[in-house]
Amino acid sequence: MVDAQRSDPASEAAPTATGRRVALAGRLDLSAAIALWNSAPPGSAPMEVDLAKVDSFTGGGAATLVALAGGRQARFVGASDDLRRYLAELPLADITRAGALEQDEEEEEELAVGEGGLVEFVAAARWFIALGFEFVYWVVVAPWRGTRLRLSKAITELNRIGVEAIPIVALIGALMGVILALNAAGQLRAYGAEKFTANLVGIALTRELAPVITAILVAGRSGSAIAAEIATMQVSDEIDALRVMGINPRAFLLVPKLLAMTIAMPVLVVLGSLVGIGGGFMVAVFGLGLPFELYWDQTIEALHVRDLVLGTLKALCFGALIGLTGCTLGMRVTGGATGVGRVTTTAVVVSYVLVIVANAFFTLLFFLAGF
Amino acid sequence: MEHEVVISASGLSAGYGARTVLHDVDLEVRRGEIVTIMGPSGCGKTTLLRLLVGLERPRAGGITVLGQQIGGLDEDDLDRFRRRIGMCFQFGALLNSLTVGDNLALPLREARSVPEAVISVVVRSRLAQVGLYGSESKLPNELSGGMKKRAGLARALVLDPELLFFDEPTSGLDPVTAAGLDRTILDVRRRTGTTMVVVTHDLASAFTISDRILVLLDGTIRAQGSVAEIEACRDPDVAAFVGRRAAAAETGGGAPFVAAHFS
Repeated sequence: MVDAQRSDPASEAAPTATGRRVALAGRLDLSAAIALWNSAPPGSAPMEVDLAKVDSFTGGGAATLVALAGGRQARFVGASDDLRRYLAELPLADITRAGALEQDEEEEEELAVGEGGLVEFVAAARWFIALGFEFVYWVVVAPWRGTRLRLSKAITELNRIGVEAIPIVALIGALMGVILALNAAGQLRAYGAEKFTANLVGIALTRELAPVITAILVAGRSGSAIAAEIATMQVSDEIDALRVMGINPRAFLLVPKLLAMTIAMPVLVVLGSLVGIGGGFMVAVFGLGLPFELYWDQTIEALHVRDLVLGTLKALCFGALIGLTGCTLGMRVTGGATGVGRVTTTAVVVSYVLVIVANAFFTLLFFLAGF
Repeated sequence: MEHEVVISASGLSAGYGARTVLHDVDLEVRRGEIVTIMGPSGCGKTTLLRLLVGLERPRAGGITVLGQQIGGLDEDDLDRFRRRIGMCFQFGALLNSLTVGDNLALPLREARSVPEAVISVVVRSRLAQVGLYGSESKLPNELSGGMKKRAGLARALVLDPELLFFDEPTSGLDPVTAAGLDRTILDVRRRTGTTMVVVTHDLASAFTISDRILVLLDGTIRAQGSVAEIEACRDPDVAAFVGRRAAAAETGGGAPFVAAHFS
């Protein structure tokens, strides 16, 4: 019934000497009041609003009258006592003085990162390095002092980070081997040097590609998961609950994850290298027709123990970097669910950057050292 | 009779970034007391509680809890200190990856070398004490909000703490469950004499359980005393908070506007 009246909330009445006169009828709700606001463009003549036929009002409708009085110089006649009382009880002096609500808080926050960002970066970097030293302490020193290492938790994590990653690492490793072999064979054929495909596949995989590609897979799979898990525990007070129980959250939560990460990565890298060499072998032997023995001998001759050691060393380092990044960002999360999402993506991106930078550093170091 | 002071803090100030949350707070809690820190949302209650258990560090002032200067403790000493206290978080803060039983067993397994046979009995009886017997194999997300809080209380009790801290124990609970939790808190105190510090804005709960109430407004303690003393307090803001007077300061003031624009 009220709706029937709402369809025509405002009707023009005779203009007054000072401007327009508008009459409202029925229910004064937000949409009726907004319609009235829109009917008077800014700068239009002051209006007089007749509220005598208004039989009920909503909070939004009444509040819009206040805006009309301020923004459209409206005056009101015939308002019910109830409406007057309602408005009189609002802190209108403060409300009319206050400006528009701030809408762009998030943008301002982003801009503020400029000053606070560096401080936070330095603090996070210190946390990261301190956690690295503490990890070494808990794994190497603490067990000799009678503090047990949480091996069962580490094994659970190892399963999650390492074992469950085997299929994807194997698949990607094999495909890398195939791609490398196809590309190398195409180029080397021109010189009649197809047999060196084996050297290229073996060395490139063990020294460079397997560590980096595996690190990228593990960062995406497990670095993000670590950051998200720790951050969620942080925002739901679980970390504080551990602290209050007298349990060191770093030893209890982070060290097993870091340990699993530094064990899983080298194993996955060796696996990725072997499967990749297998992939290259399949292409070379079955696709390009290289003799089985030739490819095998070339690979054995090209690969030295030091290549495997270098690859494994890199993998260990990448594993530590990914784990430390996830843990650091997770522990330092702020801002509820949004914060959890943010640190999760940041953990992946930061891990990628650290892994690539560390790889460049290692490669340069080995090059200069003549390995 | 005069009991020993177990918590004393003086001149406490705390804040986050540029914002000051607490300034110049003094407080004292005696053994066996239930002291409630009451105040509206955002007045700094939870920050004060976090200072008392060493989860935050004050900007100024000193805190002595159970004879130890909290501010001067390193992390290992803090861990040892915290094994003497228990804390119930607002939403329980149970570890979501562990069952309720494992959550309760955690402090026993980590802090003390308690045999598993003893742990299972302790955990089950603590759960029974808060009305959750039989929930030990459930995961926290299978529990309702009230059950999580009670499980959090059971976990806090598991090491027989000398001091128990509560952050909003009854918020978000229906009146019956809230009253039940109040009864549990009083039962624990009656039986063990545990000193408790409760942060809440639930007046009914505060008036039921407290020996002493501190009213925290805008980061300072505006009033403290027994329930009767707080109810009789003349400070207008305190009176408004404890509900003797309608909170008139926040509303009203629209009359001049109506007079100016309505005819």
